Amino acid sequence: MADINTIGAQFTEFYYKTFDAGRNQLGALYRPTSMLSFEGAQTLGDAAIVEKLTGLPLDGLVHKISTQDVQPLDGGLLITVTGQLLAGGETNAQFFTQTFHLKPDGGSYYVQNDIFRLVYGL
Amino acid sequence: MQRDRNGRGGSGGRQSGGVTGNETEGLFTSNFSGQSNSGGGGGGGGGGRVHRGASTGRSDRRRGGAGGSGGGRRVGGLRGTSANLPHTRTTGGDLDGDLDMGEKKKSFNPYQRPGRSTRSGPTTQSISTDDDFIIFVSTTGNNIGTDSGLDSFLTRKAGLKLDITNKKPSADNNTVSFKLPNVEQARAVRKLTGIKYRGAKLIIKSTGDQRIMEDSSRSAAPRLSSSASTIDSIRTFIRSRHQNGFLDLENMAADPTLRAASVIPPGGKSSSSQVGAVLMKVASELFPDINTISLASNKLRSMQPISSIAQFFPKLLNLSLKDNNITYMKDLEYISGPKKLTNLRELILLDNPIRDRAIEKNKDDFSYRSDITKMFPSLQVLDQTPVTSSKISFGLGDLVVADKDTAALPVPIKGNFYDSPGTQAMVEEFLSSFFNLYDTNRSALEAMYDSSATFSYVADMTISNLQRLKGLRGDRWENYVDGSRSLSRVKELDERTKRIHVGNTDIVKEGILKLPKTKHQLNDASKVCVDAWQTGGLLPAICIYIMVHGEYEEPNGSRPVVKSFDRSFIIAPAPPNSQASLHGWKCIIISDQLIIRHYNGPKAWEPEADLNASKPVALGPQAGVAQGGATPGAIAPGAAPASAVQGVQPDPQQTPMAGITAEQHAMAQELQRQTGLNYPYAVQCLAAVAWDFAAGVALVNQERANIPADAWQAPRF
Repeated sequence: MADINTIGAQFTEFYYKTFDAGRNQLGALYRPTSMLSFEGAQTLGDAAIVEKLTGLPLDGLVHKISTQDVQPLDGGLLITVTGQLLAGGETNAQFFTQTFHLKPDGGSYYVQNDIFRLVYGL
Repeated sequence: MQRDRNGRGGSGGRQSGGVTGNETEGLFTSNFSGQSNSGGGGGGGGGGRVHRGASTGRSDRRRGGAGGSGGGRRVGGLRGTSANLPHTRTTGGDLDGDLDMGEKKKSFNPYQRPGRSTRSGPTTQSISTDDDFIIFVSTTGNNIGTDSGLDSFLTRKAGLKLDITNKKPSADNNTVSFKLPNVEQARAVRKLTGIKYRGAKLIIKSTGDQRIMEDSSRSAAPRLSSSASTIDSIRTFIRSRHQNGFLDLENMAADPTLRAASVIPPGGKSSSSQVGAVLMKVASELFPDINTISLASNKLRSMQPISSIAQFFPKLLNLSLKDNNITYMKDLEYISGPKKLTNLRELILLDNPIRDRAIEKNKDDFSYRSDITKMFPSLQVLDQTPVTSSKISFGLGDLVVADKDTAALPVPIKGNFYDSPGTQAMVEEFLSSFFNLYDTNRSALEAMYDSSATFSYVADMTISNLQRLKGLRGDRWENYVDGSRSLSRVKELDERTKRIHVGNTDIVKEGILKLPKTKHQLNDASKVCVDAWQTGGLLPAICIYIMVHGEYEEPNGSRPVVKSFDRSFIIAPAPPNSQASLHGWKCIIISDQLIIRHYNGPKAWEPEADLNASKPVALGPQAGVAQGGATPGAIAPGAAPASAVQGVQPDPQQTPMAGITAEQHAMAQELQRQTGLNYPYAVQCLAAVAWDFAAGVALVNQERANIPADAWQAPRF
């Protein structure tokens, strides 16, 4: 198995790039059993998650990753990312923390759980 | 637009030309003899030059020339008698400022400098003057003098490129001054005064301040040298259009009174910039109580011709610009901004390209309405639709510097999330016990981690601007950096492996015991945020995901430091003969990931009046969990006896309820399994939906929030 850190980094890069470019493309990462908790609101299933994500008024925002950490978990990965949400050209970013649980599925991984919270910058 | 600029060209001429008593002569022509662009009369030439560069230089010039001749003709029609408007002016301070402009503001000399032609290509921004404008930006406690982000912020907010030079901070660093090369840039920046930047208001001033701000809005209104008969005609016109505070200036071009007096109203071809100002001024003198004005159907492309509406009717409540040709936000700026139309309650922009194009482009009017309401913050009704402030959010760039210090994303924030009361009880107990031991006796946690559990932490040392603003200079992180597993910093495989701790012994000895001592603030429910839910299918048993956000104090050191943290756990039922079970733990930690940050405060998870959010619950003594006991045995007062601990599956030994069939019994157990209801309630629920299983599931999901706590299965571990 490839190094989980590498997989985690690849995932994180892909996820946020896709998120910032077109959130509707994120559906492939989720499954019907996947769960998203966004600011405490929970969504179940890939279709609902994509709907939720695309409905978020985050257009023009860019994720800037500060840190990421990956742990192995039950054959999958647990990734915790911290970073900042930046509006175009804006310097007052909002901090966030996001945790993903990736599960293996054939040769690839999908997001079983996705937990997002803004923690601001004070 | 260039028509109006002609007016300004005229004013420039007037200022420097030492206009004598005979104003009729000097208005457009006296100072342009030296201009290279002499076509169409001086004024027109100036107009061409000052055109904003939206057209090519050539067409500018051509249009300017044509405009010039038109202007000359028309102005000629308005002047020629002794009744110069300045003499009829009222004595408002603002107005005087405007009227005296020529005498006072020698520095404003846009068309006079001999060397001007060397720098004014066709694309040169309008009315450029070789006098730089010096801008002063001040704020408090923000060290703005050395703030490198200011330039780009101002540029973005001003909406045009700023050629900032000679930037200098003041001694106290609360003010920064810089030069801008032309009035257009200066005005755009000057208009931003009062805007919030990094949480504090900016006060922006400029040399030639009054001129900058008033130049656009009042282009020499009363300088119109008009005949008594023209003024009389305008008075007659205004009287005919006024009724009970409502001034109806719709389709002025068709008005017989104005036509008879050869007055070309604003929006008409070759209309003078001054006509709008005169109309407003006369109207305000005749009917000071006007609160509603309609300028519908006037072919207005910009608010510039009637920008003085903001001057003469500062308390205007309602304005209709329906059915005009307003296309860009810029064109509305002449009547928006600080101290302009601050009482404006209703605005109509229906049937203008600015609205139609935005809707066509975005498929909705959301951003259009956002933009307009941002320009006119007092608006309550836009295009005959109420402005609901909660629905109209500004662009995100503004949100970040909006009024709230901690501006939010426009998504509702919910407080703690638990998928069921059972989870909540379990998680609260777990966290309370965990952090209690973490603060007082970390070694005891060795039993709480699974033998293959993982632990790692990351110190996120990023400081936000707001934190910096509030005086945060960065904590000391030396106790954290050595073990911080930030994968973007730690690249070597060895280090990466070393910094992830696997197994309870390694976790405690090499992981958590090496971290600074802590004192978690869990007693104050508002300072903790928890998302947690049960999930099946991960490991052989079910698990609970927990993500907790909060803060702790490091009591060591000369003075305590408060840090914020995020910590995600995955916990599972403690296996029967595990160390955890023997110590009385009901659950065991599978994974523990910790993020430590600079202090962030708890504002991020303040619920925004979300009634569905679970109430924050303190995890300390107030939650009824023994805190003093550092021994694991103390953590489970009132917990189910160990023998009753079972997995998520319904109890196979459950006796079927009397009076139901075996099939119904199985159905109830399945409902238990899928929803977490306890057996009696599962039966009750299914009975209520006539044993339609799908309907039962739907009912539980729909009514989840209303189902009493005792309907749920007891905590599962």
